[in-house]
Amino acid sequence: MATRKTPPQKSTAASLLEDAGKAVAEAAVETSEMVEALIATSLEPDATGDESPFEGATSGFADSSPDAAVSEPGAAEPENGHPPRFHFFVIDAGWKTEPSKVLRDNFHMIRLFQNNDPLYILNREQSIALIRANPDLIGKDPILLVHDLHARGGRGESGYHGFRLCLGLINNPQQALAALQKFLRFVQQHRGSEDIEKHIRDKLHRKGLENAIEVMRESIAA
Amino acid sequence: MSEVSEAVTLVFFSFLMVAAGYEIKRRQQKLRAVYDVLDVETKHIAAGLEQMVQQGELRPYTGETVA
Repeated sequence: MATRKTPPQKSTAASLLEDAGKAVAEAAVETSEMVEALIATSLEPDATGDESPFEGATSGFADSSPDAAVSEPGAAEPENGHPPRFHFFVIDAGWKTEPSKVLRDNFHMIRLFQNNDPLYILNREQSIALIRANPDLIGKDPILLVHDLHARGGRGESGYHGFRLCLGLINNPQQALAALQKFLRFVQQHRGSEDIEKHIRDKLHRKGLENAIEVMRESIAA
Repeated sequence: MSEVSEAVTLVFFSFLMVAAGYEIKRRQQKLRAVYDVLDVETKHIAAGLEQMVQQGELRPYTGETVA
């Protein structure tokens, strides 16, 4: 009686084991990254006292490589082999304010911590023209606007998705720098997320609740 | 006398609640003015900026010069 060989079963079992091993390894890496992020966040002093909703953000998402190629004439060539996830735009009409100086002094840092995603800096004339067309932006600049290229064509009326940081509304330069750092940290930690806007909304909601609790506590203390 | 006291307490408590609500609203508005996602009113700004990139009016910052 001939013995039946079952290589497909062995191969299936082997592949299952291999998949399980990969999943465990990925989970371990992800966990270690989360722990590192938590430690880094908890160790960082926050002496500025600003109200950034991005404070203490931790990455809970697996990295996903960008799949939306950008091929515009003015777009940056991918430096790290991947098309960029975000386009960063700086709008600054030229107010002589400390937050403006903070932002301009840190253009290079923005690029460094954003996986070299392109940073587009509007000159004064371009910024003024844009703000004239959108007068509600007066006084809010300098603005760091982030366009999420992955979300293009998704939900929404225009298909454009992203978020912004209006540094012009922050008076204190230290708070402006802290806000910029927290903003970049949040973006970097969630750049693998499918829907980063949702995380921002969640953060804002959570921060709003914290504010409400703080106000109630202050009221009781008074 | 106790009725007056209760009325004063009620008025004071109501004032406190209104003030707290106002302060919460103010902080939320400030927070959302500084940080927020692009809403319907601001999405067209992103569209305009991308158009400027496509037309070559904006070049990526390379660390050497500010456009």
